[in-house]
Amino acid sequence: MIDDVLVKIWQSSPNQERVKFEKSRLILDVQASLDNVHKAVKYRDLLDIVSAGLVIPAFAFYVFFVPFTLSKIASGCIAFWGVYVIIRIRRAKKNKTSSFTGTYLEYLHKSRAFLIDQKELMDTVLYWAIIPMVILISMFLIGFWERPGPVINRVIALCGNVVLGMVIYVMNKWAIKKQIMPRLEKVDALISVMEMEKE
Amino acid sequence: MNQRLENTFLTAIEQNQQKLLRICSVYAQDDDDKKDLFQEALIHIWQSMPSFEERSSLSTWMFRITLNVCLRLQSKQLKKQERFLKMDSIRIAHIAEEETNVEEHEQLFKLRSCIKKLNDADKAVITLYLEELPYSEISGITGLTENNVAVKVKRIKDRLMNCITDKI
Repeated sequence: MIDDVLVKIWQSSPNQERVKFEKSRLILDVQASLDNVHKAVKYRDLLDIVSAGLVIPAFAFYVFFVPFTLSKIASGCIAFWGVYVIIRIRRAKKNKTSSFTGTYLEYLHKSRAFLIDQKELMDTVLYWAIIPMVILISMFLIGFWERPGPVINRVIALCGNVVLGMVIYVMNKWAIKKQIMPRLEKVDALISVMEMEKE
Repeated sequence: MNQRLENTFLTAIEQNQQKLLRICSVYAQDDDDKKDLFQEALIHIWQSMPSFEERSSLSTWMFRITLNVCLRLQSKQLKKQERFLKMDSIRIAHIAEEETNVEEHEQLFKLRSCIKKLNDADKAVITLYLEELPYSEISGITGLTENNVAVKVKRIKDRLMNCITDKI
């Protein structure tokens, strides 16, 4: 009885709204949208590569052309660190759910794994990104002190470097709190609801 | 994509469009949202067509993709980042109010709002059930066992009936 009533109500919607599509254009539209999605993904990947492609060669260049020893050492380290950062970020994306063809529960587990990787990446950003960045850039800047110059500029450059590190840290913490955790909690709750009744 | 796949896709969409739209409706906040989810589901179905292995029926497989798409894209953050699709070939038309049965419309509105109050997992199970899919197929889509599906369906139906009655 309940079944019939609910199913009947549920399936009454075609009487109120209908999807209308032009069959001849739908495939073109769908394919165009899919191409846009692929373009966006490629663009994001390209952005990673270009930003790394600018930082790494620039500092590799400094290794040979900056006359100050400390700056040379720092430049070499920054180039290697840049490579490490790219590897770290790409590794954290490996669990990204790109396929929608698995079961709902599989999808939830994949989403959870991806979100945990992202959280771990952001939680530890201080150690693998910010501290090395602040130390290496500071070394790079201090290397220039071999040449006389106004002290105020040096202090501003060093402080700016530290402030940039702090901003990146705060932004990451904010993203964990506002973006990652709410989604992770929701996915966890859904998995537990699904699996609770499995036991 | 070859012509055979195109035809299969178009026929499957034609046959299941209302069902897919109804599934999207419980995850959407408004009509625009519903259309967005529906379009997004179509794109992912089209994208995955070559990998369809016929281990389940095509419609079951389409429901699975649609549910996963709805779950992922209802997050506001993801909407901003990933929703940039506009397909002019699709429209969702509302039939004029006087042509519809007012009582039927109210009941459907109540049922949808009651389903929207459920958690996402329960929404998935009950929408598939209301589309009259057998427990075995719901199990194949959600990853739950058939027994779990049966237990869940019974519990959710009771909740929905209570909710609808309260609203009346």
